[in-house]
Order: sequence, then structure tokens, then C-alpha cells
Amino acid sequence: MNQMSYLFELGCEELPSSGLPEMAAQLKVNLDQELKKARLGFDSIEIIAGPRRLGAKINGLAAFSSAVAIEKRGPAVVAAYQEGEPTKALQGFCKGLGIDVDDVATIETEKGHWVVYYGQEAGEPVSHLLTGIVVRSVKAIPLSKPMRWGTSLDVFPRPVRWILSLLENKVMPLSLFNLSADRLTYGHRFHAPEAILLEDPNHYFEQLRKAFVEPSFERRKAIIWEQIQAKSSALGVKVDQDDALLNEINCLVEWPDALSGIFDQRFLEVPEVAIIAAMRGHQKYFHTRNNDGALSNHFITVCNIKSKDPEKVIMGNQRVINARLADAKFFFESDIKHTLASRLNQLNNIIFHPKLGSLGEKTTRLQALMEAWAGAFAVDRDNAIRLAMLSRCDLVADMVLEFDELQGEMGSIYAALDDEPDSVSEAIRCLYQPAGATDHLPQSSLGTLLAMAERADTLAGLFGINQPPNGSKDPFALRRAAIGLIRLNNHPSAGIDLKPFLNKALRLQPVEFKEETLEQIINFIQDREKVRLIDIGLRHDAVIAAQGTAGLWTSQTEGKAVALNSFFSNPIAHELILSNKRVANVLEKEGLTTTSIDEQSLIHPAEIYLYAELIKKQPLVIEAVSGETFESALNILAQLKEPIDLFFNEVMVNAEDQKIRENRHALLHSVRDIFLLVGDLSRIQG
Amino acid sequence: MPIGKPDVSTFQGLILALQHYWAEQGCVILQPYDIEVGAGTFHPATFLRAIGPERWNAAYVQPSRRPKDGRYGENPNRGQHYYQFQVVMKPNPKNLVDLYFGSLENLGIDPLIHDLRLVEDNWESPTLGAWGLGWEVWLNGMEVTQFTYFQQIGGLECFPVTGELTYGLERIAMYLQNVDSMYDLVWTRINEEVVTYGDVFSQNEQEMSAYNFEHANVDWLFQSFTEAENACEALLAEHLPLPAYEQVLKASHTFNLLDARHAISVTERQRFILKVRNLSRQVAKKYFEVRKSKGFPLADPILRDAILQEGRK
Repeated sequence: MNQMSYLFELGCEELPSSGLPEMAAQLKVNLDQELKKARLGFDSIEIIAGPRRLGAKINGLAAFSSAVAIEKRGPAVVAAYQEGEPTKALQGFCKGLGIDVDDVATIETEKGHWVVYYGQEAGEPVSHLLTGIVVRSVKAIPLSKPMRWGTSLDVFPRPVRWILSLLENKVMPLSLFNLSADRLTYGHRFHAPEAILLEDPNHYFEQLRKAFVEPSFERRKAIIWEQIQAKSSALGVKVDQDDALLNEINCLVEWPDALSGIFDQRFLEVPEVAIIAAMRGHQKYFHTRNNDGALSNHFITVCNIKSKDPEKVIMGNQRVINARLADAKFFFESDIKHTLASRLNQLNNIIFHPKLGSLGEKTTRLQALMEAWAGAFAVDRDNAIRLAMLSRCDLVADMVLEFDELQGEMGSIYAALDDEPDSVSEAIRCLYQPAGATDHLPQSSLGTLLAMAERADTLAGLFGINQPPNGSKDPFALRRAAIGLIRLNNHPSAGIDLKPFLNKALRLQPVEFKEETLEQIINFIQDREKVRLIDIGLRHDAVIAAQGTAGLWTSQTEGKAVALNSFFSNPIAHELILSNKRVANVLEKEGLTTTSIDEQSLIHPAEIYLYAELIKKQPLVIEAVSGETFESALNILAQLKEPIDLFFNEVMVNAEDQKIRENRHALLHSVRDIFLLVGDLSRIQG
Repeated sequence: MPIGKPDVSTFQGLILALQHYWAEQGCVILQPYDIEVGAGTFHPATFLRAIGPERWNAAYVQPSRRPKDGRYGENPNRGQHYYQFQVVMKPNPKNLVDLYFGSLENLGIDPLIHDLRLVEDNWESPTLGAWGLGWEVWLNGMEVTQFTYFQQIGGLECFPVTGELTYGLERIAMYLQNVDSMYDLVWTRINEEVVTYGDVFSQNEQEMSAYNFEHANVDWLFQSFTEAENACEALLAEHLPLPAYEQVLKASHTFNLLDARHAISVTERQRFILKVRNLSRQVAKKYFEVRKSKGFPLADPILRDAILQEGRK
């Protein structure tokens, strides 16, 4: 069968660099799905993505969609034939499908013999299918910031100006954004502004390259990186890998040309994070380093033309960066006239939330929370208090007011200049870590404590004033805070029970303490945890059971859930779960009157036996749990199955004698508690 | 210098060249609005004309005041008073980007020498209840223009869409004249004599900075703000959106002065912004109603009929 090429391109005004990579990736996914859904064979999809174009070339496209086998069930054989002759029922079935009565077969099922027709649905020519495939694929690209333009009601991230759509040498009709497809495209905005006529898709890349456009996102990216490395090695400096910056630059150029410039040496006195922020964030420059790792004053910028006079481009860029760095230097010098600690009072003027007070008040709460947990984290109490106090002071420093992405970083730098203890100044930047679900975590115990206290305080505050996230609205990023808290608690120095931690955080809020608020926060955190654990392939009920233990030991949930998950294949699991349900049911019915077990009141041999086994296993289970070897804990618990069963078979739990009855309840309570160290097995389905 | 060919190596020549260029593209050349504003967008020729279905193409210089940016004339790049050159076209023509780059070429900026780039930048004015999407335009890494497709103005959806260009005149001039301080810019040359930007504005920057930061009467400003607010609402009740809008501008500038005097706390700040935004929204709505009652005389007939019809439903 003939294989064809298809090409389409949406010509746009400069697309936003923040959205282009995701749009391109999504377009590819959509096309792939649509082609498969339409049963159109193809070899590959090459994505075209740049500031002024988004599209794809589909190679090795089949001329027809593939035929598909179909199976149609007809009447039962007994109803289809009478004395070997087709009945009206069968004739009707065949007529409906336009087939002969001889074309059918019979199959045998559990419910008897049936007439069946196996046929084929013929393929359709590619030209009938493509338009729909492309339109649906484009429309299904999620747009984070759509816009309208002119008098059009269509939306896209920026105005669309032309559409190219070619199947081999024919224009494939396509109407989108009030435009009709043609065989024209345009090259570089300044180097090759004239329309380019395409005969067919096969020379598209070649023709555009002649017109100063590299249409392939990946190839352009590789070219940029090569150019940057060539520049840096010519200068004898090194550049740090920075894929995010490289991607951003790649979205801003069609015909990259890396140029290098220098900024005034005297700005090297400014902390390098600030220099890098000015160059990277504002100007999208790559900074460079000398062989000893120190920041060099050479920078590399990637422009979008092969300039007739590159010196002019360089001079212009140098002027801009020198002015920006002059500002940064001014901010730095004025900032260090004051100590970081002296800025604390100014935090009282910045509102965190009208109902939760100022950032100054938030700082005071962090201080109390960190002080109370310093012991648990094995950190110095005075350092914890000092760290809380300094943690936000950089927010009122000029440098951070100008470059807000330097919050935390500048705090650490200024604290070090003020001769604060190393562990304290180092930990200030941890307040904002982790920034995202995959962002890196603090390394030190002190930093971990700060980051956890911060998230606990925010969660407690916002839930305390009844402003949990609502649908997609999560202005205080509470979901991220919860996920961050779970991840932070995996730090070797942490692994704490979050319940008392959150309890304390909640009690520090300027709102009335309510037990139900604490429960809400715990549920909110457990929901995030559940999603993550189910995502990594654990059974829903194993996760629920692991979360069913007392307290909120998030650092152990995964281990427990994994152990429970694999425990299901143990032959004894099912019965052990049943025993647990039985215990839980009895206790639920009887209410929770916990009394301690009185050994003297144990009279029946089966309860004495159960008690003895319980006492024997208890330290072993506790040891396994504290060593986080949950699977062996479960294996030890499994040995309790026999004494539990014996107990239920031979002992009357609700004895008439109150003392004996209560003693038996207490015994069952102990049984349940020991299981709860690993998980609530009664929550497991069957 | 022959008449009709402005000398773009002077500040006033730059303005003349831009006016000339945009006049040729069919823009009404207007003059600055005579009330203190923070940017060209506040001129009624942008804010109000962006509302509703009527066509509108205009260009003008707007002196802009940002009291907080005052540096007593000591910062070479920043001042509490500067100039913007504003172009608005509604609906935005298909080739607005090309027209814009054409204006730079007309100033002698060769796009095959200089690296010109459209870098994503989304514009929002909290006090005007307005936002749009577009770019900042880079000239060799320096932002020289803000380019925006308005999506909402005064809380109303923009349809058709207005394209807005805001040139930073001092920056472009500094580039063209190759000077590092705006005060060194040549404003004009008269025979052999040079008049600089500093000659025209340095005393103004010093004195106005002192006023903005030290002497502006805070009590009176608070009072003025309230009065402007009340006047605006009273004028809206009289169906007079244009004078009501002037009161919004006065309130907005008064707020900026109070901000420069550090008279407004962080929480209060948000409240003041919301007050101004609320007024802007009401003015926008009223302006739309008044234009509608006049039958949107400047709209394309098809669009006008469609929108008037919609209202009757």
C-alpha cells in the first residue's frame, strides 16, 4: 500500500514560551491518539514547534484506514433454523447486515449455541479522515491562557495568521481560526519575510532552513546548546546545565545565534545568586564559570538573527545587564547596612492573612512550634528559635523586593554575613523547600524542622479559619504544603507523628481550637498520601489499612502499605483479616471501655493462651515496627491467628460476670492495638 | 533638516517620527490627557475607547507619573515623570506586529543588525480591572515596548479586541542617541545649540521627588481621595461617564501619592486598589450604556446590529 506524508502548520504570532513545550507535547499525543482511533497507520510524527509555528509532519501515512474485523451476534441456533432451513429470524438478521444466510457461522457459549457473523468493516481513504483528526487534535490542546484577537471569537495563546496543510502535493482542506489552509508558509520574520510555496511536505524542513528557521524543537535546542558550549570553550569558561533556561530560550528563537558579552567586573562583588537571577530571570542569559568554579563576568546570550553587526547586539545587551547589575549592587550594599535580625519588626506590617495576622505573628508561631519539637529532631533549641526568627526577615530586604525568587537565598547570605551560627544561616533557605512535588528537600535536620513547621502552620491557619482549597482554587497552595509535609517527614531526622505536631500548630493559631479541624487537616494530608500511594500501584484497601493506624506517621505509611500489599498473597492473610474484623466488630458493638487486663481474671485456658501469646509477640512486633520491617511484623502477627480463633471458638466474650466480661474486652483491645501498629486489617476487603 | 523628515537623533524628532508613522497608518493623532496618569493606558482614548464594538485607531504621547519612582534626578534610568508613546488600534489589524516593527525600522533600527524579539508578557492593571496578553519587545535584550491585546477592560470583555502598543520613549531615545543617562538625551538642536532632557526636566525631578516623598499633604490626599470617590459615584448617577472617569484618574493618582508617602499600610493598600477598581468598573459599564444609547455610531454596521440586537433579547 502507498505510504504518504502529511504536513500541517499553524502560523502564529510569537507563542508564549511558558506554554509552547507543553502544547507541542500535547499535540503529538492528540495526533497519535486520533490516528490510532481512526485506524490510520503511520510511521512517525515529527513535531514542528517554534515561536511562530506549531504543527506536525506525519510520515508513512497509510492511504486507507485499516479494515476492522467485526462480530455480530444473531439469534440462537434453535430459533435460526427449523429442520435445517433458515427461519424468518435468521433471514431478518442477514438482511439487516446485507449478507447471505450462508455467510453466518455458529458459536457455542455458556448460554447455548448462537448464530454469529464475522465480517470486516472496510477502511476509508486518508483524505476523508485527516481534517477531522487535525481539527480535533488542535482543539484538544489545553490552553492555560487563551486569548481572542481582532473580531474573532476563536481562542489560542496568540493570534494565528496562516495554516499550511498538505497531503502529498495536495492542499488538504482545513478551516480553523477563520483561516483556510493553503500551501504557503513563512520563514524568519526578518531574514526571509516572503511567503514560501511548498510543493509537498517532503521538503518543508529543508525549505524553512533556507529561510532561516529551524522548525524542529529538539534539533534547534541541540543547536543552541552546541553554540553555547562552543562559545564557552572559546572563552575558556564553563556553563552550567540548565534545561529550563535552554527550553525557554529555544521558545524565543527560530534561528539561534549565541553571542557572548561581559559585564563590569566590579559587579562580581554582588552575591552570585543575585547576578544569576538578574541574568537568567530577566535577560535569559547563560552565566559562565571559571575553571575554579567561580562566577565569571562573561555571559552568553542567544539572539534570533544572524546579525550583520553582532558587536551592536552585544553592546546593547551589555548595557542592559550592567544597568540591572548596578541596581542589584545598590540593593546589596544598602541591605547589608542593616542586620537581618533588625528587620524582624517590619514583618509586623506585612499581612499574611487578615484573620491569621501578620508575617511577624506567623514567625512567632513558627518559633513556638520549632522550640517544642527541637528535641524530637535532635537540634539545638536556641538555634531552632533563632532560625524561626530570621526565617522571613529577608522579605523586606531590597534585593528580595526586586528579585522575589531570591527569597530564602538572600536570607541565608545575609545571615552568614551577620555571623549567625552556620547551621542557622544555612537553613534559612529551607523555608521554601520543597517548592514543588519533585523539588529538592532540605538536607539538614534544622532546615527540615523549619520547612515542616512552616507548612504545618499554614495548613493549621487556613483550615482553622475554614478556608481549605476549593476545587481548583488553592491560593495558599495547601495541597503543595501537604505533599511537602509528607515528603519532609521522610527525612532521617524527622519521621515524627504529625498528629501532635499539627495539633500544636493549630492551637497556636489566633482561632478557637476545634478537634474536627485537626481531623480535617489529617484527612486532607491522608488524601494526598493516598493518591500518591495508589499511583505507585498499591491496593486501595492496603493504603487505607496502612493509614488506619493510630496517629499520623506518614513516613511509615508507604512501608506498611507495601507490606500489607504483599501480605495478601500469604495463604493465612484472608483468615487473619476475618479475625481482625471479628475483633473490631465486637469492640465496636460494645463501645470502647478500655481497662487494663487483670491476669487473675483470665480463667478460660483459651484466653490465658491468647494473652500469653500476645505478651510474647508484643515486643517482637514493636521491635519490627520501630525497625520499619513491616513485613516481618505481619508475619509475627500472623502467628496470633490460631490463638485468636481458638479464643472465639471456645470463649464466650460477653460473660455474665461483669469483671470477666470487661477483662475479655480489654484483651481484645490489646489484640486490636497490636495489629494497629502495622495497619487496620479490618479495613481490608475480603 | 528638510521639513517632514524628523531627526530621530533628538528626543522631539523621535516623537515626531512616531506620530508621522502612525498617522500614515490611519491613527488619529491625539494630544496627552491633561490629568496626571500613571501610563498611556489611562488616557480615555485607550481605556474608554477599548470598550464596546466601535472602531478606533489613535496614537499620542502621554506624560506618565509614578510618584514612587522618583529618585531626585539621580538615577539615570528612573524618574517619577516620563513619556510613553501610545498606539491603540481596534480591532487590531492582522498585521499589527508588522506595522510595529515597521515603526522601528522607520526610526532607523535595522532588524537585520539588531536583535528584536517578542517575549511573552501578560499585562494586568488591578486598578483598571483590565488585563491582556502580549509581549514585551526586546531590542538587544532591552525592553522598549509593551505590546498587548486587551482581553478585559473595566471588567468588560473586549470585543473586538484592541491592540495596544506602549513605547518607552526615553529608553528608545537613549538607545538611538547612545547615551547612558536620560538626562543626557538631546531633546533638540537649535542651530549649534543643544537642549538636553536634563535642561528640560532635571529641576522638575528634584522638586517633584521632594514633593512626592516629603511634602505631599497626607491628610489632604486622603480627603481628596474620598472626594473623588464620591464625585465619581454622583456623576455616574447622572449618566456622565467621562467626568466620572476623570475622578477615577484623580483617585488613582492620589492613591499613588499616598503610596509614595508610605501613608498606606499593606492591608490598606489592597483596599484602596479595590476601591479604584470598583469605580473603573462602574465607569466602564456606564460608558458602554451611554454609547449603546447613542447606537454605537462608530461601529461597523454588522457588528453594531448584532450587539444592539443581543441587548434587545
